[in-house]
Amino acid sequence: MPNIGEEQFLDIYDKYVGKIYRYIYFRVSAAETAQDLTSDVFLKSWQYLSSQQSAVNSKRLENPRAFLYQVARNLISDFYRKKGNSPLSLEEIADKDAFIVDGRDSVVEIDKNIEIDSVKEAIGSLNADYQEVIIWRYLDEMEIKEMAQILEKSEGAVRVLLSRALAALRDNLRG
Amino acid sequence: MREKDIIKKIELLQKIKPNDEWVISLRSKLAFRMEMERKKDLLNKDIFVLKELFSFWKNYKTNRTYATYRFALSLGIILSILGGGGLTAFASLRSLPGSGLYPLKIALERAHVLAATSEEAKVKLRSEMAGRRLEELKTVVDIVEPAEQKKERVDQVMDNIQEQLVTASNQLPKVGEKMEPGKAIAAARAVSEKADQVEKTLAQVKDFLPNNVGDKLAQTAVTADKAGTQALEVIVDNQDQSDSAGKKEVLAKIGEKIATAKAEIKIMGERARQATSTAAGKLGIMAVLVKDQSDKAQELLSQASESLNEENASEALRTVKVAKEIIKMAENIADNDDRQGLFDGNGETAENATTTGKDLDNASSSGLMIKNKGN
Repeated sequence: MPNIGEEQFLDIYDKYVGKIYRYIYFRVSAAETAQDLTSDVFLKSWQYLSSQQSAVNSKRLENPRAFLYQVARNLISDFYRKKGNSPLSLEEIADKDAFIVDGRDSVVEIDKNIEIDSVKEAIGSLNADYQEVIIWRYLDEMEIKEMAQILEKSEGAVRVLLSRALAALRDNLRG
Repeated sequence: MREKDIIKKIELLQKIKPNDEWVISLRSKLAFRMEMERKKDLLNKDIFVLKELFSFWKNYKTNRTYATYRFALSLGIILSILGGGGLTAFASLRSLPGSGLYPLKIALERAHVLAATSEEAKVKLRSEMAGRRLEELKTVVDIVEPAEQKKERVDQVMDNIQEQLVTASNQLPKVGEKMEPGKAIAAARAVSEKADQVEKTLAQVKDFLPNNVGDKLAQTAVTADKAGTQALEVIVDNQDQSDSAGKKEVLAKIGEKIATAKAEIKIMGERARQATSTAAGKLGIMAVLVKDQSDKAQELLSQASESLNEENASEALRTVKVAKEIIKMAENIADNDDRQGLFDGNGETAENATTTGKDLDNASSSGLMIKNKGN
């Protein structure tokens, strides 16, 4: 018997689909690819969770978010391996139409969108490790402990990584 | 640049989000996959639990013994599960009541509702389902076929319409229950519009259908009336949030309900007059009771009209509801009398008169309560 109920999994979907999409979007910088990979994350996670033994699942379900991010990371690695590409260039990242931003076309909103583009470019030009920790910590408000769990590193190592990532981002924003 | 300024800039990116339609469509895909996997799993594990696979069919199978029907349905579902699912599902979307793929179409629509992300979306999808059933009903009316076959098709559609209306209205907040007013009104409007549409369509097709579906049509009309009234109650309960056009619309709908109820009383009065004329002016006890209750209902409807003129929608709606209950009970008595031949004053029994008198007292006491309140 599956260890996770359909309703329970759909609740997890409702809660995390936006975040997982955003994380993948930053990593691949193309809306269509982000949609395909997000779709794979949830379909594969469901297949996995509904077919594994209870003990394994219980552990996974203690922190479904961490599990989903792990699946997403694997799929992103797989995507780049198959494509034979390194993460995208700065030009590819500046794909302004690839995402949806709430808001009206007021001058303030347009300024804000320009600012969003510049931050997006700055984050996009960081290496994958730095991107991840910044997205998780400041967009998804993830605890250091949880990040350490996903990255399989110590909390201290994650703090150092985060601090270096912020410094690199600061440089990118200045440049 | 300070660290907190950088963090502030990063947080701007929280505005990036996936397209809503894509989120819903992926959820729907996921829910459908889950359902199919569950059923495939059942198929692999134990052939005898195939019963579960066809669970949604149980409403129809009692009336059907045709082997071909069962075969087509089984084939459709198994094909959906084991491959070619898209094609079968697509084919089922065009099927009509009575067709082997029709239950699959209903199951797919239900899966779509299950996949909806919010209660409001579910209510909306359910009322859309009821709308599709009405379209099917119109198509079924045009098919030339024996009355018995027509009845099966109509029953299938009516059962589904009733189910959608009941479920959609059950998902509405009860009076006094908390829900964001804008959402509550939107959901209630969807149910109210659909209930109106059901009542209008039934009135249109009634004369083109055989007599053997009369009871089912009447039952569906009652369900639609109840759902419409419940939706109006929700709208009235949240009317502080409505604009003036919305308020006028509600008053107009209550006005329509009063007019319909008055028409029902008129029809009953006509029946009473006909019965009287056949019995040389002598009224039976039941007929007297029916007339008495009709008068009470008429009085309540006048009160409702007054409340409506004062734009007191809540009071008007409450009064109409009680009046309709009295009318319904009086109609039941009249129907029983018709069957037993008592309406003409011959053969009335004390036992019948006492029992029905008690029922009517219960209904009228609630009616009088409103009356006193109105005074």
